[in-house]
Amino acid sequence: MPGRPSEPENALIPLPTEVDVPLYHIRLGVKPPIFRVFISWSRGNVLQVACIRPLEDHLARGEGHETSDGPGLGGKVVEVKLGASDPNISEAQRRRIIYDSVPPFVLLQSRRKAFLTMYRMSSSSSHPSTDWWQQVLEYSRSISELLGSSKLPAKSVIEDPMIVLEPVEKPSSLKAAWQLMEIFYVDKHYFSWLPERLVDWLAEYDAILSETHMTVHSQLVKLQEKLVNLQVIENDPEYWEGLSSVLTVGWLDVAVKLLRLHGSYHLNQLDSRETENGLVETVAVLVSTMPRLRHDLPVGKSGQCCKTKPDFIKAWEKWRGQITKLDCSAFWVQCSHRPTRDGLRNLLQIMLGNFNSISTACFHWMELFISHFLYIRPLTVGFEEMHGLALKFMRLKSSSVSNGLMRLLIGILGENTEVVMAECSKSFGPWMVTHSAELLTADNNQNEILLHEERYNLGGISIVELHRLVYCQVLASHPLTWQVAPTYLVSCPKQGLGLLEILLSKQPVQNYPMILKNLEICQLNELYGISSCVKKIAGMHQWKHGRKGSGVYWLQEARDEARLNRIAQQLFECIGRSISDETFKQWEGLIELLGSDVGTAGGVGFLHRYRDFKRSLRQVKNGRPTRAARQTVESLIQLMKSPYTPQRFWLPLLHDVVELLNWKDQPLLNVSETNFLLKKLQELSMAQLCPEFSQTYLPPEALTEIRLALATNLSRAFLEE
Amino acid sequence: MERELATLGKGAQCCSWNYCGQRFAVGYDDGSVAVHDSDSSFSRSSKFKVHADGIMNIVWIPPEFGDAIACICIDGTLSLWEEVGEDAHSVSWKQCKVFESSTSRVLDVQFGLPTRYLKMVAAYSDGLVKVYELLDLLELNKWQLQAEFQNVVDSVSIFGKPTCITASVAWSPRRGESQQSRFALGFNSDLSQFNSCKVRFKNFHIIGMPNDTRKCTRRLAGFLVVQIVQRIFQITFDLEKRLGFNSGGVVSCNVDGYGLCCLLTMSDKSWLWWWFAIGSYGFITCGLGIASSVGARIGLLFLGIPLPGKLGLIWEFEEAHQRWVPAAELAFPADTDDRVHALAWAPNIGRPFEVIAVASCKGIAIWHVWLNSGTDGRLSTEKVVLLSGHDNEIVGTSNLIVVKKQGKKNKKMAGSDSDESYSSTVVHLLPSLLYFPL
Repeated sequence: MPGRPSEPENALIPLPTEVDVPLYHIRLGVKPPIFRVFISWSRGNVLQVACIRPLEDHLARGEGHETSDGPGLGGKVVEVKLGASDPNISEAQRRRIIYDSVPPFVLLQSRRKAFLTMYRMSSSSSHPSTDWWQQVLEYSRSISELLGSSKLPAKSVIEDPMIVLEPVEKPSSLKAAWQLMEIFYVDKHYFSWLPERLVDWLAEYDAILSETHMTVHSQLVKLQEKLVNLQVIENDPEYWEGLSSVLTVGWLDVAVKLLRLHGSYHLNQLDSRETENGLVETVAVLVSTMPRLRHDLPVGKSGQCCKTKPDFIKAWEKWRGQITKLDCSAFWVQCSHRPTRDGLRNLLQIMLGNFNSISTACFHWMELFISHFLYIRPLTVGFEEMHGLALKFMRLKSSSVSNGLMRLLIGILGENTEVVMAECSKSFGPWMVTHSAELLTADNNQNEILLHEERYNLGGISIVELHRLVYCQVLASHPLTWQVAPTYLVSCPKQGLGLLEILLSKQPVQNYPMILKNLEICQLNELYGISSCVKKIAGMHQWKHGRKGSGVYWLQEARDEARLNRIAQQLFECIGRSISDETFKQWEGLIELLGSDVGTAGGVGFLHRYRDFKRSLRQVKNGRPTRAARQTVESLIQLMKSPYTPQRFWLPLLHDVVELLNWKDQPLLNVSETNFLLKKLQELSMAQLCPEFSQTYLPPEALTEIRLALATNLSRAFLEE
Repeated sequence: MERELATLGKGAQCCSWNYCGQRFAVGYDDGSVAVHDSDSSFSRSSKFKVHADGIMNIVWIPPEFGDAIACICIDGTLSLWEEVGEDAHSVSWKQCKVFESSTSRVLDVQFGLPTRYLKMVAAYSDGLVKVYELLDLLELNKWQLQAEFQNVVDSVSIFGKPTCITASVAWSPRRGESQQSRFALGFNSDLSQFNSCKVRFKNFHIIGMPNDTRKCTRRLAGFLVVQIVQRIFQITFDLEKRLGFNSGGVVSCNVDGYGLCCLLTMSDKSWLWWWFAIGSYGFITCGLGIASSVGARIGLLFLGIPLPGKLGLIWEFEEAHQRWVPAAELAFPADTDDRVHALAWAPNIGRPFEVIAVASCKGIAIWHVWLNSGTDGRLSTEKVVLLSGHDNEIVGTSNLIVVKKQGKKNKKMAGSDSDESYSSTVVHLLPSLLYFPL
């Protein structure tokens, strides 16, 4: 076939096997048998399905199915929304995210445009991505903000020593995923202190690492419940387990707080357990002075902030030296409380980077992964061996990747952009994949090429465009979100406008605000064809539903000359059928609205002249005599001269002016005009003999009356001249 | 995932949605039609009697012509109805036009995208296709028959007219004034009547007519007319050369992918032409025409007649000659037993090819059709995939969605015993892409 490569892997469209085709099971709520099914696409991804049951006499002849649905049920109509949305996010929340993410997205797109223009204009000495990532970071932070408020440091914790875990809402996995991508793809600052950034991330999202398995967070929740009732806390092994776990994952504040709950701090016991208390306090001090390689440390957070690597190495060695010294000290022998001694020494082992202690204290592989960088390889930069380690720890904790968040992390660590995109789409939906594509390309030329390259097998569009189109389909599925879709569609260079046309042409145009919204979008995107189509539909709807004026208005807006001509013709015929003042009044407004420049039919031209004639005639009757009378006869002469004035109008027109022909002051028509009218009257009398002549409603003596009036006028005109 | 919109009354037969999916019309077995509106949360907004017989199908007319429907009744009557009113409260449905035919029934009707004129294609039970054009843009009562032909590539079958049970028409949904009018059409015709024809000409299919072959045919027709005129009026003028026919020898020869060969030989005084159609399996049919300079009588003998009526054919309107010509056939030579149940033409916003689904008893075949025809003037087609129905019964298709009745195995998986559930296979969601599973 022309234009089609023969290799299957390069095929224009990947051939689906039966297995790949998605199946949606629809419960229609109609008992079998079903006779016919009708389906139709509604907006976006919404399908409408009608299921029709066979007639009852057919049923009776058949297998004798009972109609338990009720005797009157002939079928049901259901609406099916394809593509599942995240059940953890409520519909209202989802819509809020959709609306709020528009401004940052639009801002970033316009910046990108400006950035590319600038780059093209300037010499290629500076790479475009030199500070592009900062723009993306700003975008990422605004999106991150709208995904939910981050955990605030609760001040009340300090006041209540028994509360080690602040009660917060369950964090959203969408935000967790977003922040993971921000850490790994956007923020260049994080690259030097990745382990610390991961510790911060884990502190916020440990609760959602696993739905089924134990995590440090869930252990801490259990311990928190126990703390209130425990008298001698240090005798409980769970206290020491919890303590080592929180230390492993780097939650130093919680660890210090837990240590200070140790029984030896009680005033009544301080004397008898002096050495023990000293050891606990020393460990607490060591924990709270742990060196941390990061840019800043929030106020109230434990640890010793080191901004540069040399500073950190120095502080780290000193700190490790102190731990080793404490570990070897003789005070341990003097400590009589065995759980305290073992617990504290275990904490020291963790801080010294003992893998076994760390591994035992962690539950989830991700916790082990992060603590590995915190205590064993604190100087890790970038993706170095991260993927291998993650897989190793997963095996160690014998956990499978069941969670979308974890699959995403594995994809990121594996530096596999396709997997990341697929995971974003699968686990977090089209919103995520559309918006996160910007993060992927922030500082990665390879990804930029991969995602923005036009692909033959996608019909000539890029992956980024594909996902935006998919997202727009989702937006179009809801009456409250479809108006957001055009913003994204215009950022799709290849097929965005095509999809926008389809979207707009499927919008109902029954109400005025809706039409205006549609037209506004058309105007913005220069979709004149669709805009004219919308106006035509609106015009015809109004016309057919009795709102003739509105109908004509919209058809004029659409410049639909063909229809307007037909309307003019219809009006013309309608007025011609019975030319009375009442019918004319009824149509006068429409004639006005149609304007005089409609088409070439001439019908409207006549109607306009006729309207002027009637108007001046009315003025004469209302007592503004001579001038108006003169105008009326002028209109009359024009009308009679016009080839478009149908013959059936002649007699009524002349009959209307009988009064004016007998005008008291002066004859209004001169000799030649009167002669012209007499000629016309003669023509009319001849035509009356023809069988197809249409009779008017005028009395039979009208003709004689007019003739007499004309003759009188003629004689007066002679005298005058 | 699903939400119930409305419950249909007893005797419902068919259902159809309007352009924006905000209204739907339901046809009943007593010949009445009910219209449901989203404004009234899809409860019935009006009901009116259309015909004495039951309604078989309803099709909405493009909204540029008002809120109107076409109703096909069981007896084959086609009637057009529109909603009119003096104000919002006095809305009623009135009949605009009735198309009656004593000889054949209307099976399906579809309206083209409104460009300058509204075109309506009606498929009849005798295998005929009629294309009507609306003459009045404001009223739906004046229609003109623009064309009438059989859904076959070649001339009318000498074996008589087929009897068709169902038909399906799908217009190309491409917008824009410059777009050529195209529609695809398929019939489900009475097989037994054509058994002999089917066996005999099993392998004979012409897909469109190659450009130069078509030209040649036109020239031939023109030449014949000239010959007749010359004989009748006893005048001689050398038009042959002007028409491009040289005396004697081979005039045109063309072999297309399906083995159609056209050969013309002429001599000074008499001439004959030959058609050879060689099927994929070597079956040869030929057409022979003889005309003599002595007499004006023309003998035409067609030995090979293509299989009538059952295949999906794409017709396109040739503006230059104001006629409908078959542009492509959506069937393989081996697919002779395909009865077309339904056709759907997918929207296209940037694909280099069109996507058409043809539902037959074998399953749903997805075809790619390249509209920019090659040098031979015919559209390239390719069957991309056949979504077989397995043991499931396909009960409906729409724009490449297939609704299947679920088999027993699946039913168990779905865990529903009371409700018969239906699974819809979504082959295509984005108009631009053929295949995008959600």
